[in-house]
Amino acid sequence: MANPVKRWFQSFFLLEMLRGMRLTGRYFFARKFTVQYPEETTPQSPRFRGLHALRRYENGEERCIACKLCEAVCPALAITIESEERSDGTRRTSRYDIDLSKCIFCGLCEESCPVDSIVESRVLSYHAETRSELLYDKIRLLGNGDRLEGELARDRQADSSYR
Amino acid sequence: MPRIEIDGQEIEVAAGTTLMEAAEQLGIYIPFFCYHPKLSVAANCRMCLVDVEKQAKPLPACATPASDGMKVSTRSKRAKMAQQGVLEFLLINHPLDCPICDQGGECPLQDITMGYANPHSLYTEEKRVVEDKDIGPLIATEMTRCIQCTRCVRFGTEIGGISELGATGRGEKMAIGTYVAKAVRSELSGNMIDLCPVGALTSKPFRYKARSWELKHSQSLCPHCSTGCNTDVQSLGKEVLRVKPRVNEAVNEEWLCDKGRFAYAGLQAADRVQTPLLRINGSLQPVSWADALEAAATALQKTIGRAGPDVVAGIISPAASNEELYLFQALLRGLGVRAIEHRLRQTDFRADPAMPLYPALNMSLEQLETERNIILCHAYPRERQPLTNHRLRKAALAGAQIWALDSTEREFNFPLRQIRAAAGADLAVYEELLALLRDGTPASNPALADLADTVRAADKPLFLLGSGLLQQPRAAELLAVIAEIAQQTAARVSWLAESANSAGAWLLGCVPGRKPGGVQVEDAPQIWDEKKAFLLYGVEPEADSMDAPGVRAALDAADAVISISSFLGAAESYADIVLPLASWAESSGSFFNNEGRLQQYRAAVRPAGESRPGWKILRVLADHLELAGLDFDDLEALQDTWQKQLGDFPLDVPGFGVMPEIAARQQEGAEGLQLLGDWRIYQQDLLVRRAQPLEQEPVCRLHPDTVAELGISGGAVELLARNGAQVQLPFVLDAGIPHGAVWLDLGHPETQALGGVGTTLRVQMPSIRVRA
Repeated sequence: MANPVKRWFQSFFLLEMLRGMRLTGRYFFARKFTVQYPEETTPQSPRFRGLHALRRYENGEERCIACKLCEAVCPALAITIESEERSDGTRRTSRYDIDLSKCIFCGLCEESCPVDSIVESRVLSYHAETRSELLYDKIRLLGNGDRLEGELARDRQADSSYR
Repeated sequence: MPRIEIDGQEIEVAAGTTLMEAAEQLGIYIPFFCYHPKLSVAANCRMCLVDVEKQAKPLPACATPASDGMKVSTRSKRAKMAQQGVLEFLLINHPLDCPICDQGGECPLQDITMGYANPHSLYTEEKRVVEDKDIGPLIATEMTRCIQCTRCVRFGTEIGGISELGATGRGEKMAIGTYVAKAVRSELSGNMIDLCPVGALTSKPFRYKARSWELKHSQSLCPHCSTGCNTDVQSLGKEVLRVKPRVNEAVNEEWLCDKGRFAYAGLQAADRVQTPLLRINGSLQPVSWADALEAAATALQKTIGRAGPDVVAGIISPAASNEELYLFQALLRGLGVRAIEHRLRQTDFRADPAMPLYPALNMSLEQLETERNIILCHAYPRERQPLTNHRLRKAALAGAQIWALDSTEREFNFPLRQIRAAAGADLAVYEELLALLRDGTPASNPALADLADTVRAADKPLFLLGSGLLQQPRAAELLAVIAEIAQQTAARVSWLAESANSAGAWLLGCVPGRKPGGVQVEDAPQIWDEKKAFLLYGVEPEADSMDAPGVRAALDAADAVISISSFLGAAESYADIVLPLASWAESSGSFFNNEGRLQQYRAAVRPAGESRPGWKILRVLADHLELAGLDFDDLEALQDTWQKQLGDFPLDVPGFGVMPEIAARQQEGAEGLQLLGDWRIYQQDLLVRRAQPLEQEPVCRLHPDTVAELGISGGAVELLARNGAQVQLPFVLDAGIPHGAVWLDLGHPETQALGGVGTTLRVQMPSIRVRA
């Protein structure tokens, strides 16, 4: 600020303050975009990556075939799978754990799945009081899938033309 | 010497070299499925098509010999088009079920498709489906995945020696199968799993257990025979999931027999010992290591204090590592014990002083292939040492004359002449051969006369002595005759050692009367007579002895039986202290194989339960017994010590020492059929016996004439031993069994009570018994 006269005028008439207040004023009268969570929620993309779920086919058969691609691709090593031959001769998991305290929600598991079994749902408000509750096993993941199947199927359908 | 150019690189190759081999020498990769360096060239997958200048069509590199001036391109437009076209055709009928296929992740078809295929297929029609076959408990089939490379078929005829799989149908209808529905029985069948470039043949015990990329690989050795095959033990977490061969051209090339490949399944056996056990009030109770070791040390000290060290015997498995063998004998010799043994199946030890330093092949396995005249003496390597047998097969196919002398005829997989002794008259065959060689008396058996001619005409023929010989009740006399024959004819004598480390057991002094390095010191005491305490290491004497009932009685009568073992088995009733031993997959060590080759193996997984590696158990036990000089802290120090004790030793130990005077032992002249028998391939040791996929039902074999004479019909017979034991077994008609004898699969819980080779059995129709 080389010019002392100019500085004197700016200080005396609070020009900088008024310039700042102009921005405040603009937002004061504009339409508000605060979301009153949890009564209100923001819109979600069908590609939203939230709580995991294991899906089933329409006939009730679990989709997962224990190919372990999600386990291999998981960058956080959050997925643990053990596989076996089920009594009907098909390849199935005997254990499917996701440690949500490790998961970084990158979505690679979903992307790698050849049968659309492991998916990430729109649920983001899951919670737990202990760490161990954040360890989702196969039963809980299948439960998530059963609970959310309608929405999950709609989302996959909506996104299918891009995949 | 044709000079050719591949992808711009020039190379001069020997005449007859194929383009595939030439490219390999240059380090240029040409994709292939059906080609395999150890199999004949079939050129039916067409994946290795390359572009050769001035040729109308691309040529298969695996079947095209290099000729002078050839200019080959593996990456030209025409070559690429050929590769893409072949892959497109192969994938027409190949199901894209990689996510559930066990081959996924280690599949050449997957890899080559990723590398060379056009990502777009024009094919929209239906794929073909091929019916699955059940070819036994070891190989799982998914025949729709087959791309008809015929590697498995060629392996069966060229390496396995029995043509079991074949192709039926043509074109799209071509399918691999067994012609008639049956299980594949080759002892090398597991190699077809490795050879199959797709997931058509996969391992049944490994089915759906894990993916290839998550397995930990550990360099190991096969502990099931003296060939010493190099293996790769693959594990996930605490569990060994599969065993595959490691390439070692000098030992196992790239093969592994089914015994070595699938025996790991026994590691999870139900009777695996997890904690130290101590007999309290008549039953074995889990105790702490400290208590068990203290009890073991006290038992040994008390027995020795009361009756001297001569009432104690130590028996160690010949599949124990060198380190364990050395510590075992050092511990017992430190206590003054002289009865240290590893040969449970042998009963006649009178020739011991003349035995060589160790049972050596006296040549490399590769040299065995070049032998011209081989006489197998009571050896059946096909079941005992399957990959040594493979070398013999190569020798036979290269024109070697092979003879087999045995109690029975065996199912060899190469051309040879077999001479079978009359029931119980094994010695007579060798004596007659000796007489023929000595003065040419007319032979009773024309085959023997031919053999004598061969031996006489041959330049240093090779007598290969098998474990069947040492199992004979008059083994020492047989050895003496063979020594005499060898002397008469300048023949060489070599051994097919029985177990993974039989050589180590001899070299490191786990034989009565010999210290490490073969130093003969004491007179050799008996193992079983009048003993009050036994230290057993990794053995099941009741299953591995010729005289199982006698051995059982000795163990039951003993004051203290300490068993260091991975498996409980019958020790539940006779052992007083059981110390859990880590299996071979769970500990490190070294073996000497049949050639005298020293090889190391590494632990793959953590020991099951509270079990500990053997050398640590022995070291701590020695500490409890206050024996100095055995407190090794690491395996390296222990290795240094035994190597220093052993010193340099000759790898070749031909012939026999001075044979002691051996009197003819009277044959038992009891009525009934002469008992012959052997431990079958999957009964050889504790681990194999417990491998569920390898399970074999015991049978007895009878000559059709014997059956007719006894008037037996139906599928089973009742066998009566002279000790009163009575067992009912299914029987098989086998013209290879001598008349008047009964063959028994030894080692099974069912057959143990009947005793072993040398006794007689009465055989009759099963009587119908009404239970009271």
